[in-house]
Amino acid sequence: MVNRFLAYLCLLFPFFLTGCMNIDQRIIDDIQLSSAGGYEYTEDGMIEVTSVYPSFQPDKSVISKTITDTAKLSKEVRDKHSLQSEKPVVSGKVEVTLYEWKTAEKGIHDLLDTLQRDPSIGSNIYLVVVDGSPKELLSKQYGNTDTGIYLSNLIEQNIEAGQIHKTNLHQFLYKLYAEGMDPVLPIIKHEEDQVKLKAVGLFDDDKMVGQIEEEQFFIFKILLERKGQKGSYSLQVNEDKDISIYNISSERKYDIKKPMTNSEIIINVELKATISEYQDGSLNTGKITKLEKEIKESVEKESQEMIQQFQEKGIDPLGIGEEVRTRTRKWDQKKWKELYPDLKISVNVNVKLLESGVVE
Amino acid sequence: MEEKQKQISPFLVFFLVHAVQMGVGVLGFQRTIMKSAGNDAWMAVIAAGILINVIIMVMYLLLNKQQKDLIDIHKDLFGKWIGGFFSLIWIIYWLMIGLVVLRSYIEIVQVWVFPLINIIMFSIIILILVYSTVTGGFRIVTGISFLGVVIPFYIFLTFFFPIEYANFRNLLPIWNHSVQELSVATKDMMLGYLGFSTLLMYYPYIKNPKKSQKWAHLGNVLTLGIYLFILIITIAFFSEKQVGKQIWATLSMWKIVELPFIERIEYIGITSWILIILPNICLAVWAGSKGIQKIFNLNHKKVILFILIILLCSTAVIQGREDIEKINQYISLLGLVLVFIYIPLLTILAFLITKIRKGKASNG
Repeated sequence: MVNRFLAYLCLLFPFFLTGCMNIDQRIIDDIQLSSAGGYEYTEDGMIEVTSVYPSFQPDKSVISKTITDTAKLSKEVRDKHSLQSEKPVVSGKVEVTLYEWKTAEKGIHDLLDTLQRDPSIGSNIYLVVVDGSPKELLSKQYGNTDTGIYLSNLIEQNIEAGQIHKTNLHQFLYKLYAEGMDPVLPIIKHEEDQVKLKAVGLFDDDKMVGQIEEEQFFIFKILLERKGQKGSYSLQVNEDKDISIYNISSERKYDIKKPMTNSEIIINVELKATISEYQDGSLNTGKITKLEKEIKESVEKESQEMIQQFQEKGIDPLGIGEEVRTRTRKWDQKKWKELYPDLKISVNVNVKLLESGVVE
Repeated sequence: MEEKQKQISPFLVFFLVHAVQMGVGVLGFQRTIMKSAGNDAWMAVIAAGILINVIIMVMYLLLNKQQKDLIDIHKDLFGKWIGGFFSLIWIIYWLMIGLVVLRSYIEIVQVWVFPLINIIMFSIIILILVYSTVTGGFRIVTGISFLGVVIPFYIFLTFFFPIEYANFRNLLPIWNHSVQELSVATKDMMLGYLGFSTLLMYYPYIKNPKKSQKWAHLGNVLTLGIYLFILIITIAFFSEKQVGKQIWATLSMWKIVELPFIERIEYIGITSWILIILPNICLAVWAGSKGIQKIFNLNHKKVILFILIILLCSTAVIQGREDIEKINQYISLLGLVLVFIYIPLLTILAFLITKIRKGKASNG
């Protein structure tokens, strides 16, 4: 009897002990969940951090509020933020972090440390570069939602629609640490009452060195992703007669005969698409074959130009170096860096127009 | 051999071997082995697993011949004092395994979930659980091992999420590292497999122990499979230098998972992990306490209590990453020596001594 009593007591004991564990409780009503953060280096080398957090109004609408402060370290700023806030600011729900243009050009590696080190921040948050001041962009109200969620939706929607390549913190770090690849980040700009995905920023290591404009997004995407879906492309065929194709599924394969030498690298891209708009009368088989050829030539030309641009800058956002690295033993990064700018890299595109919509 | 009621079926050895091998190591073994073997580290995992299988075979050679546990073998071969001394080394080793697992787990909880958690309270709660399991006898420990393998198995399904971002080309080029680098990685990988030597203690508790050998091998192969699976996904998911930065690469992979009902799957993973480490600690404490009880002829329950108090104090004394890393290194060195040098030597010695004794008996 006594033994059994003791056993029950033993079982109950842990429940009481949990109270003594000094566990830091975080109740959602008592904290300020920051949803986005903007980083900017000030002129004296300090970091200016702006955090956005949603404030839920009694009429169920959401207003986003911002706090800004400067300090040497970004977590130090968080403490300073708390000084301005009625509730403690926590970073577990951060969806997007923004970097000012000049900050990105200076290098963002040091600013990423806090994101990597903090276990409460996921690796699927988005990083973006802002053309303009992140503080200004974040302090505006966009629609009914909180600014952080709004920006994250903006990027996510465009990735899912196939407009831009996949991008998040993990992928940025992956490319940053990979020996034969350089990272890229989307660039957004605040225009009137809206935010626009404007370009893709090209990085050399952690410093932004160039951009790809909106018209080239598609080309960049098919060259970057091994297998892509969706996406659209338009082309002028005859004078002011355009064709637009969509639902493009792409497959990219590298053909590297002799890695780590001067021999040519061929990138094979296979595109399968549907015609979404055509302005030059009705379509027939002959015309479609002609169109396929024209699209092929145009995509090839644009790709070549883009790659040449990369080579001139000495950056490798497409990860051609990674493809070479995985094909060579005793990989030597330095030797590759010397080889890369003068390599002959050609693109071979194969286009198939499978459907032409519901009309001929 | 123990009484029939206290014995377990041979197939349960599968869970015992596997449960004690799976510990906190799975959460962060990648960095150490990839430091030397890079993208070829998966070969080290396989090589280490095969070597461990060989040692399990040697252990069965010894045990099948002797039909008793390590303490009695020592006593039989070396006498009471020297044999007792060797037994104590093994006991310390097993208890250290229990300690390392417990402390590393608490460290993970500290770093990932509750930074301010009261270590002593937390270990008290786990150790109460361990106490109630171990005092229940070996069959209860086996039961916990079985549950500790079966229940948390769903955790491994979550490792399919990172495949979305995986780049399997990273595995190429195969055989990019020298044999030397691979053997260093294999040595480092051993720590992940240690603990199976508790078999030396529970052998008399197995019904038809000879039949259990294949289950012990299979248990080890399952461990090998899980390590291999996680490592291949890690290699594909991270770039090589990136892995070097992650102390717990497995946990870092969970950071990418996004589910509609939970933002951070690590929290589920880490809390489920307690089911994986519990049999680990229980079996280590059971083996250690059983050994002490046999050597000194003490009350088993009191021995367990004594051991648990020591474990509790040690978890509180060890502080920070550096201490834990150091103890891990000591254990892995001690384990290597015991498993790869001591066991084969003991097997040969036991074989010779019994032969000589038999010869003497027949001559006399």
